[in-house]
Amino acid sequence: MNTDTSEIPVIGTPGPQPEAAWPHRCDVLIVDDTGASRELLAAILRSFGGNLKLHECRNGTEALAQWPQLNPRITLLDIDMPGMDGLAVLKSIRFQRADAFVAMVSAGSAIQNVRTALSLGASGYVVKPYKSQRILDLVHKYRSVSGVDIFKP
Amino acid sequence: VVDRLRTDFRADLPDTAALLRDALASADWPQARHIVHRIKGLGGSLGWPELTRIATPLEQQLGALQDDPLHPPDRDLGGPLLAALDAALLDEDPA
Repeated sequence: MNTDTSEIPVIGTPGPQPEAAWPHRCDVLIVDDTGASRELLAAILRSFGGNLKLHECRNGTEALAQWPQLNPRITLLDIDMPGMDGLAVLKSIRFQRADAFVAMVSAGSAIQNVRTALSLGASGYVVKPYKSQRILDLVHKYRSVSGVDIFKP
Repeated sequence: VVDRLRTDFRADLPDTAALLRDALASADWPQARHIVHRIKGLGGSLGWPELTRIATPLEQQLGALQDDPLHPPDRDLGGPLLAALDAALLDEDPA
């Protein structure tokens, strides 16, 4: 069986109508326990332009505590983190907001990880290491389901 | 930013290798797996795809050892990745 997930298309639940009722205080929330991974992702997002409001969290517990206030348009979750992992965070966010746009960005490329994430309602799954285009694909997907281009003021 | 991250990653390689060596020597599979997982994710992103290629099966092996601590580890468990970390340290101009 081919378990190479590096070229998995950005798939998942269609996601949100994010402009609905709740104000967004953040464009993209990046959740990863590795500082360099957070910085890299932030740098890639900023390289696409616009004046993005980014926020970073170092673990799942921190992310869940801040998520309701931030109400990010896009949440990017690592999976393998100490304590609460990204799948548990995804599950909890889905419980709070069924229409939130939450995608996994993980080095966990096992097909079972991908299946679990999608079954929990992940809006997409990008395998590390990734090309910048994969992150842009996620942003485009968000635009297609929400009608919002986060790069435009 | 990417250049700085690459420089930092390379500068940390000796410490990373030492931590991995210690974790493997003490059969601390969760810690070893965590280190390898980080190398796998960051190495390829920062210009060392070989690290990701070698780390991927090792991470799986360590996961299996974590699930079944009685399973005997390979004799050279982690050897190829440690060698690749040494090589990456010498590689001043990664892909």
